[in-house]
This record gives sequence, structure tokens and C-alpha cells, in this order.
Amino acid sequence: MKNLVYIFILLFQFSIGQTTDESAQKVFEIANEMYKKGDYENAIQKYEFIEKSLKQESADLYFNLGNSYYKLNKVAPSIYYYEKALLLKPNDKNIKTNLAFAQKRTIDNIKVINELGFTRFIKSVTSIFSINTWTWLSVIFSVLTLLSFALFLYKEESNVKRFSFVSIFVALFLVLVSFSSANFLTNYKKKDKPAIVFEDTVEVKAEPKEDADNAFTLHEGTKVYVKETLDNYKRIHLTDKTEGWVLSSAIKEVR
Amino acid sequence: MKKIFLIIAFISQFVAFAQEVKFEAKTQKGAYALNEKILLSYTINNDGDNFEAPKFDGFKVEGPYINKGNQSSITVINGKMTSKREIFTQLNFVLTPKSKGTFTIQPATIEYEGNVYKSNAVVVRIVDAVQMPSDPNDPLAQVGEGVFLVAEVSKQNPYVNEPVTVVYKVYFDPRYGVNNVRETDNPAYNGFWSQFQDMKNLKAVLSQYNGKDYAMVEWRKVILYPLEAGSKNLDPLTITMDVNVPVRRTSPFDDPYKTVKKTISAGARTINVKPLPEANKPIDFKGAVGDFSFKVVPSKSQVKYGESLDINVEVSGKGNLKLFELPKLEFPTAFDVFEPKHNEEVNTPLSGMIGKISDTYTIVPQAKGKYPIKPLVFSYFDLKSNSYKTITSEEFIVEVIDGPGLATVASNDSEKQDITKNETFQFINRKTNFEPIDKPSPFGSTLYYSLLILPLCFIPILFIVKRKTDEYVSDEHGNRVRLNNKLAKKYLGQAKKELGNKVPFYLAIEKALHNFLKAKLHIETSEMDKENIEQLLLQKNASQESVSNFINLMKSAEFARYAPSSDDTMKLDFDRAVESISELEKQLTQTKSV
Repeated sequence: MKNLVYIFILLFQFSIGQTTDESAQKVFEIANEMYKKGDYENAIQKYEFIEKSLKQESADLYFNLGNSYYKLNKVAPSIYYYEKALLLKPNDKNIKTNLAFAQKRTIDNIKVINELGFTRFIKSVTSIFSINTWTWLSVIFSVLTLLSFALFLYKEESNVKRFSFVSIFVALFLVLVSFSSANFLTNYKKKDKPAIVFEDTVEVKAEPKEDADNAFTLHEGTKVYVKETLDNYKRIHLTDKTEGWVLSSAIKEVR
Repeated sequence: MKKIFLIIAFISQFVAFAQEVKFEAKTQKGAYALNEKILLSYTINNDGDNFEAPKFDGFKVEGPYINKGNQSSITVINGKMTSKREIFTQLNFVLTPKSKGTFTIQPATIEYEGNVYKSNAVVVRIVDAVQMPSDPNDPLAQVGEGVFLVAEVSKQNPYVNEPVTVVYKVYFDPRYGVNNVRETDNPAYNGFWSQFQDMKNLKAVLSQYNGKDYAMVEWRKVILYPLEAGSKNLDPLTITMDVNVPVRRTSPFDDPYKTVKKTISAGARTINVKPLPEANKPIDFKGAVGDFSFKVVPSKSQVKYGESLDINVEVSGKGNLKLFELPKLEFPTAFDVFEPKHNEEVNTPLSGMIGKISDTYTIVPQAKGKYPIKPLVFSYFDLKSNSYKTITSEEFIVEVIDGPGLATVASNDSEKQDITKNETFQFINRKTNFEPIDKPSPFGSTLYYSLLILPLCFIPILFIVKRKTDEYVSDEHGNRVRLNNKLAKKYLGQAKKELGNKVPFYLAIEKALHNFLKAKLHIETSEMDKENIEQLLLQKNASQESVSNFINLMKSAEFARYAPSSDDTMKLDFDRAVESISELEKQLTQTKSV
């Protein structure tokens, strides 16, 4: 019964979501007009209304928010929203460009140590689509496998038979690829917690205590990765693999 | 010497007769203070021998100091000149009283020409000690009182980094000359930042100290900035000098001054340094104490790509300018920044350091754009109001015109290098598709798994179905045989029912035979001519007899339809048909099994 309800919701989600989606669209357009006029404060207000009150999101919304904050010379929020946009659209060139502009304003220049070739390859492949896309793709390929199998069984023409035989395996392979990509991304999402430093300067401590030694100092707009949380401290990890503890209030997690 | 003495004695003999011998004792005053020295002198107006001093009870005695001499005088009275010579002997004692009271000093005795003369007794009163007037005849004693060093400390309880001045002053009697002054022991001023004032010309001025006039020279002035809280000891300053003290000349050839080497020291103090209050201490406080102004000024607000820009961070005012660090400016990564140039223009008069210090940053922008430079915060402790003050500089924007949008600086961070040159800041996106935030991902849901697995489950099902249909299709022949057998039996049954009705009976018999053949020989009705049937049956190893029986039966069945026949023939024909079919059946089945 519960499953039935779920299926029902899933099927009709589109039609239900229509109303909030429409109002979000309207607010989005108004905000865009404000941005065009240079009224960035109000544009931000409207954009954030969509995000916080209407609970709607899109890469474009976050991108526009990042732009508005950039125009107001607020480094940390602009980077924060660009990163948020990149999570939804990992390969968008505009977002990457503007993020680079915002990063030029940051003070820390932390080296990015890349992952090893294989992990990097996996990441670049899986980041082509979002989790949802991969999910639906796996279903589609599963159906395609069935269809090509049927074709193979019932069609007598040798050309069709040969083609369908190959396509069974291709489709089956693609099912595996899309499923494991979706799986990888889901796990990665749980593990990977990027965050942006919001305070002007943050002392990174060697231990999660106030009187602990200062390991190093970070500045506004720097991207860190949260590894664990203890009381009101978070263990962070930089792109150059250095580690330390910061007060939770100093950073804001992107996800 | 003895001869001279004898001659003198001889000469004086004439006079001696003429005058009587006087021997007397006297002191200068009747009353002395306890700390005064008493000069007691016995004088005889002649030579004397065997002087016997009395006992000086209650006094410390120095002496006798014998003083012999003669006096000659020429007197002219009414044109008559008389010359006179007098000889005297003086014996001096210096007595130091031991206690107060009235003392009588007993007479002393002396012998002259066989006669013993006795002096008078002296009564002295010893009273309370008094402030001694300096004895002008004892230079050593004088110098100790007339020359001294004083250290004046401006504050005993300063805050950390609050300036304290120490002035060392040499006081001396204006009559003295002081020269060749040198410092023999220099204080180290541990725990303080110190700076000496340049004392260009030491000049003695008339000054008062404890109500007395002195000549005063400011020997050294020091500014101290305590570096840490706590009680700090100041070491004394010791100086050595030559003091020229005027002395009474005994002859015109004597030096009128006596030179004394004198060492004096002063300034051993303890200064209690107060720590700065902890309450309301700003986090970015770096130890500045005083009264300051603070500003951050860029040399220009617009800069072309590749040009450099200076930004000046300056603190000016009064206070411990040399003793704290300037706040550091931080720049976006889009700038190449050189080490700041530190500049100090600080004077240190006795009132404390005054002037300005500054850091000048030279930056070279690497990319076009507008870059906000964060305001800097400078905090200091204000001594006037005893409170912390914070000055925040204004935020300003450096605008870089011309030049590439996102120049790739030769940095090794790949993320920033990915961007190609001449990119511009992208405008907002005008269109979008919204999705609800936190929509549960379909991945992992049961629906998803069923949708994923279901088509794959269909594959074996499809496979099985296909096989079944294939089986069905391939078994069509057998089915037909079975059907024909069934039909044969069915029609035989029908024929049995129709026994008596000629036409339907034979029609049924015929159909039964045909179907039997169809089942056994797999042939169609169209192929059923007698020769063919016979041949086929014989091929299948049916016996000649039963085959001919069968053929006859077929013939008779065909024939009987159009010829009149009795019920008996019909009965007979039915029996023959059953017999023949079962016979052939048996034979054909046997061959099959063989």
C-alpha cells in the first residue's frame, strides 16, 4: 500500500509541483530584472526566497546568487553559491568561469593536489550526469536490454538477430555502468562534504580545543572538506591535504 | 739646631728676668655640643720642661700637638725704642666628649728653671649634639656632603609600554669644581626598552635641594618603556668624578684646591609595572600603548594591468611606536604582493616616542576586475582614558583595468589554470528549471530497484515462453496424427449411431477411414487415391491382406452410398471397418516400434 502511494506521488509529482514551480519561475524572473538593473541586494532577497521559502533549487538559481554576491564584493557567499551550483551541474563552464573570478579575490592560495589517475577518471566519468539521471538511465538501459533480447528471440532475420545480440550486451553493460555511477555518486555525496570559510580569518587548531595550538590560518572564501564533527568543532581537510580543527560557526557546508 | 736653641736661650735670658712666667689652660668656649671637638691648649710664655698633662676623664684625647714659637716686638715710646722678644710654648689637645655633663679638667704642671708651674683648671659643659657646621678645613669630610647624585623617576606604577623617564642629576656645592666625570657602572635596564637622551652640553644650573642651594647638572636622561608586567629593579648608576675642593691656603704657593676622586651612585629603584587590563581587550591588540591615528591609503584606486600599486598602512601619534607590529594587509590571490617596506619616522624626546611608522605594500595585479581590500583593524590602549580604542580603516576597491580577464598566473593550482585567457565574468542565466530541494533521490528506492530488476527478470520468462511456443510449433505433426486418430474414432462412433441410415453411415465410415489414413500415413485428402494408399501402407510393412481388406472396405463404402443396402450389410461393413482399422493399427504400430 505504501509503495502504491509512493508510486502515485512519483507519477504525479510533476503535476503537483507545477504550482510552486510556476511561482518560483515568476520570482526568478523578477529577481533577474533586479540584477539587470544593478539592484543586487533585492535580487539576492528574491533568489533566496526561492531557495529558502519555496524550497526550490536549480544550478542557475545558485549561479545567479553567486553572481549577485560577487557584484556586492562578498567573497565567501559568492563562492559558496557557485560551489552549490557546481554540485548540481558539475561541468558547467559559466559557473566554473565565475567561480574562478571569485576565487581570485580570496586570500588563501591553497595548492590543489589531484587524486590519482583512476579515481580522477571515475570521478570525471560519473560527474557527466547527476545521480537522478544515472538512476533513470539504468532503468532505461534495463528496459532496452529486455527489448533487444526480445528482438533477438523473435526476429528471424539474421541482420536483426546479430544486431540485437550485440545490443543485449551493450545495454546490459550500460545498466551496470549507470547503476554503479549512481551508486558511486550517492556514496561520494555522503563522504564528500565541501564547505566554505565564511569568517574573515579563522585559526585552524591542532586539536578541537580553544587553547590548542594554532596550526594555520584560513581566510574568507577558502574551500575546505569536512571530515568529522566533534562538539562545536569540525575536522577539516584542505585541497592540499593539510588537516585541522575549526569552529563549526566559521564555515558553512555547501551540501 | 741645638746650638741655635742654646743661643736663643741665652739671648732670652735677659728678658726672662724681667717678666714673670705664665702658664695657663684655655678652651675656646665654655660649652660644647656632644659631637664637637674641644681644642684645649696650654700655653707657657717661656720654654718649659717636664709637662705633665692631667687625666682627661670622660674624653677621648688626641695630642699633645706642641707648638713653639717666638714673638718679637719693637715699641717706640717718646723717641725711645724698646725692643722685646717673647718666647712661648703651646701644647694643644683635641678632646672628643664621650657623654654629656659638666667636666672639670684638672691643672697641668710644667717645670721651668727648676720651678714647677701649675696651670688653671678648666670647666667645660657638654650639651646635646648639634648639626655640625661643615668644617671648612677638612676637604674629605666636606666632599661627602656636598656632592651627590639623584635619580628622578617619573612614575612608580606605569602600565606595560607606558613611558617612564629617569633623570640622573648631580648636585654639588657651587664652590666646587667638578671634572673628569665618567660612568663606572651602567644600569642595564632589564625588562625595559630604553633610550638615552642626547645630553649635548652639560651645564650646571643653580638649583635647590632640601632647601639648600646647589649647582645641578642633568647628567643623563633615559626613557624607559616597560616590556612586561611585574616588579622590575632598576640598577643604580654609578659615576666617578674628580672634585676640586677649595682649601685654606697656608702659603701663597699652595694649590688653592684640593682634588678628590669621588664615586657616587643612585637610582636603585623598584618599579611596579602594571599589566594592561584584560577586560575589553580587543583580539587584534598587538601592544600599542599611547595615542594614535591609523589609516590605509592606496596610491591610486585604478590601476592598469601590469602596473604596480602602493598601499600604505600608517600609524602616527604618540606612544610606543617602535614596540608593536603594524597589522598586516591581506590581498586577493589576483595580486602579486612584495614584502612590505617598513618605514619609521620616530623621535624620542623625554615625553616619549612621537612620529609615525608605516608599511608600504607594492602589489602588481594579475587579472582584470574589481577587488575589494578588506578593512584593517588597529587597536591600542589609550593612557588618557585608560581604555582600549579600535580604529578600523576604510574598505576600498582596487579596480584593475585592461588586461586579461583571468590571466593564468604561474601558480600550480590546477583549478585556476583550467580557465582560458580572456574570459569575462558571465552574466546570470535567465532560464531555469526548478526542482524541489531535498527531493529524495529515486536511487535506492524500492520502486527504482523493481524498475531496474523487472525488465531483467522478464528475460528468462521471455526465454521460457519462447521455448514453449517453439515446442508447441514443432509438435504440430504429432498433434495432427492424434487429432486424426481421434477423428477416426469419433466418426466410427458416429457411424455406429447411424447404423440403419445408409448415407450418413457410409459418410461417417468414409471419414473415419480417411482420418485414420491421415493420421497413419500423414497425407491429405487430396492425395488419397487407392494406389497411392496401397503403396504407402505396404511401405509401412502392413500385410498384403489387411491392406487389400482396407482398400475393399473403402471401395465398398464409396459404392454402398449410391447402392441400396440392407441393415445387415451396414452392420457387416461396420464390423469390417473396425476390424481392418485395428488390424492396420497394430501392424503400423509394430513397424514403428521396430
